[in-house]
Amino acid sequence: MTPPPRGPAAPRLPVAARLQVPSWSQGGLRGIRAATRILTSDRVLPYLLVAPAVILVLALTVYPTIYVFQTSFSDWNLMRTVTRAVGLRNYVELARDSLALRALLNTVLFLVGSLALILVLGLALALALNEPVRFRSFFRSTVVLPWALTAVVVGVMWRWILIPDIGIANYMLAGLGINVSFFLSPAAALATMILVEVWRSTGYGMILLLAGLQGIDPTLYEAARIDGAGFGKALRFITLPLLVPTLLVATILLSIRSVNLIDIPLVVTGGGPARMTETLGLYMWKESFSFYHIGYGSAVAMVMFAINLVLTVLYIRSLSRSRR
Amino acid sequence: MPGEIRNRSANRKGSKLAGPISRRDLLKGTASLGLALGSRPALAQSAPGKGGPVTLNLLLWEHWKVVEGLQKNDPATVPKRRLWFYETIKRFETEHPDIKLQYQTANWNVATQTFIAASQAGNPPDLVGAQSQDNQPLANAGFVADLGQFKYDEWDDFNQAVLREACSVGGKIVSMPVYLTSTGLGYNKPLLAQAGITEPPKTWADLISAGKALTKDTRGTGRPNQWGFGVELSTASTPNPVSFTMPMIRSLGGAIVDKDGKGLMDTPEHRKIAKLLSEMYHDHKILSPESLTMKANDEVDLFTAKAWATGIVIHALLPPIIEKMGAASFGFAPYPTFPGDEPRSYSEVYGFLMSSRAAKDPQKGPAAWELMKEIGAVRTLLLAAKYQFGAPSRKSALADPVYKSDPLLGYLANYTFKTATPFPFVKEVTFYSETFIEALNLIVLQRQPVDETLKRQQARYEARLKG
Repeated sequence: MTPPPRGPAAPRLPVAARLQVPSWSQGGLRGIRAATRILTSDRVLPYLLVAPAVILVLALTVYPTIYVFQTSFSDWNLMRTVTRAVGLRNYVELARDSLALRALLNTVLFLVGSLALILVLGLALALALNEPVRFRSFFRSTVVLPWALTAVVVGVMWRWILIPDIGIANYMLAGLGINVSFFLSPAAALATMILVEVWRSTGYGMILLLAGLQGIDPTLYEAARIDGAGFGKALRFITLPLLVPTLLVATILLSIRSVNLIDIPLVVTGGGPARMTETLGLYMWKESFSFYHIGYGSAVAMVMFAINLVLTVLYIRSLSRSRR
Repeated sequence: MPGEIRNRSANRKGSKLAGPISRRDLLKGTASLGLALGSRPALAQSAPGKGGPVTLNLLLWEHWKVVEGLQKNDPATVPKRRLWFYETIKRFETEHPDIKLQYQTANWNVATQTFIAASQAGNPPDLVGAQSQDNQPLANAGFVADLGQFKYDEWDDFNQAVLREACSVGGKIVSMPVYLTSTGLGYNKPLLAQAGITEPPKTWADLISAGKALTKDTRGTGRPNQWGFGVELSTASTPNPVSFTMPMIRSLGGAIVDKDGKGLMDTPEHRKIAKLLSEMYHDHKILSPESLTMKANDEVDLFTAKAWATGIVIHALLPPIIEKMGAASFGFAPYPTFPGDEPRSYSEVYGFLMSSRAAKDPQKGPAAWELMKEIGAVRTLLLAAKYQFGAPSRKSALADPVYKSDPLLGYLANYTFKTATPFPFVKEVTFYSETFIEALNLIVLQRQPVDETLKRQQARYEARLKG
């Protein structure tokens, strides 16, 4: 088919002029058509389609981040009506505050401890449930179930299980002549928090890694088996190298959650004993919403933001390197 | 024709529609329409006809669990001890059909923050229920109304100490007190009887010797699971540990705040009680370790599971404890004293505050005040007594026969009226509380030196005040 003949090209007017409707009677319909043509053109339409998402991200993420950054240079206190700019004072105080440094250390310990256990256990479960075992779907669902529970519910449940004198854990351990004070020493309380987080998030880690395992070509394993490689060698030379991108994604997501963590420490230990198990997230929450020091709390939030940013950049770099 | 319609309209109203419509005009029109539609509910709510219905928003504590029942007119969904509030509101709604009530809830420890945030955003609830220690910061920030602006002849009937120390800021009454609850020594009667203790300990020395007899390892694990004494000392239950140890400090002649509102923790009295608590934990081994890790209201389960044989408890928790243990098994005695002192207690004063915004509104203000009066009425206090062992905040209520109908209720009412002291106003109260409790934890758990730790924490608090 030949295209219909076209008349001489119309002079291209500026957008504003093209939208200008001369009058209701003459130009209305033409103006609407022109506007529709412009709005559905390849140059404009993609921007229009992504605009709602961009506006939402700008309004709900970018703007609040800028606002918190600005607030971190003020002494905004919810109980005062006057707010002053204080420059870097909040950051200086933060660097000097032993509680903040302890919270940072707790966050790092929590991150490392929970991440290592979640990845190891998640990988073990993913490997087991990648095999054609009976009731595989049931086991997969069961392992993921804790992730479907709200962290607060998980925290409350574990707290009641572990409370020393009235919890069921010590009641059962009493049969072995053991009584454990899960929350009394800072180390035990932190370990308990890690345990709770591992119980909750291992299923999530497993799902991510299972998806990665299912993306590995099974013929690689067949070839390895023919060459005499056992499970260990297949894991070392095929599974793990090919799973690196998935592991990195899992690491990013779980690390960000650990850095931002508030719910588990708030519910399980409340930051105690003696504020020794506070994480950065909980420390920020207390400063902002318990002591009403929004300015100082914003400075803590910006530090958390910076840590997340650094972690994300590091992981993305290593991810792109591993893909190369 | 569209053109004709446009021209007729333009001629009749003399509008600008005669010329071409620009994008700006279209935008203006759309924005005006949007604003008009968007503001419709607000207009409808804020500008009813004179004498028309007015809607009040109440911010309540979530754990009261009354809102669903109020909305559905179903008292069966309301916990028994909160029925006093349910019945009060229902009575008010019947008597004031022109005042509609809406509710929002917040967790008890963030209710004040919720109110503050809403106030700063310019849209506070009209009434909020709060503990008295929040009154001063709320009043100083200008978020709550001076109730003195409303005509009321009954202020003299209230417990004047409560009104002055807990409900007033700068000489202005900002909170309508409801019922009072006080701290005392809760005890498990059968456990005391088994240990051969005939009456609850009156002094700290008595308590230590009783505690030794009551602390037991009933499971054979080598570590006790039944403790002679417990008291909230955990940073996870701020600020309760400060309230619960305040009578000890006052019993020694000390105070937790100076005349300028600065919180105190580096005083001889604070040092003495920190040392005593540490000795109870390490030397006498009667203080429940749970005291240092528990959360607010865990006392209910600790008593019912026999983990605590005795412990400091606020009497608002008596209904659930007695419900689980039975009245014959649980006793409530005065807060222990040091030699030569009379029993003292801390009294929690729960009250309702009105937002400044509501008070300025010519319709909401009077309506909110009507509700405030009902909340503080004698008949409301009698309901609180019936359902929650609430002690009265008014003299005329104390004389009511209802307090003589039940020995425990009468005892609690008189004990509270006689001994209780509200939490004083302390600058940066939450930070102060957390800093002091942290000090107690470090001293008791880690055996950090008493003097040095309290001094360091006091300095930390004062530095924050200067900031």
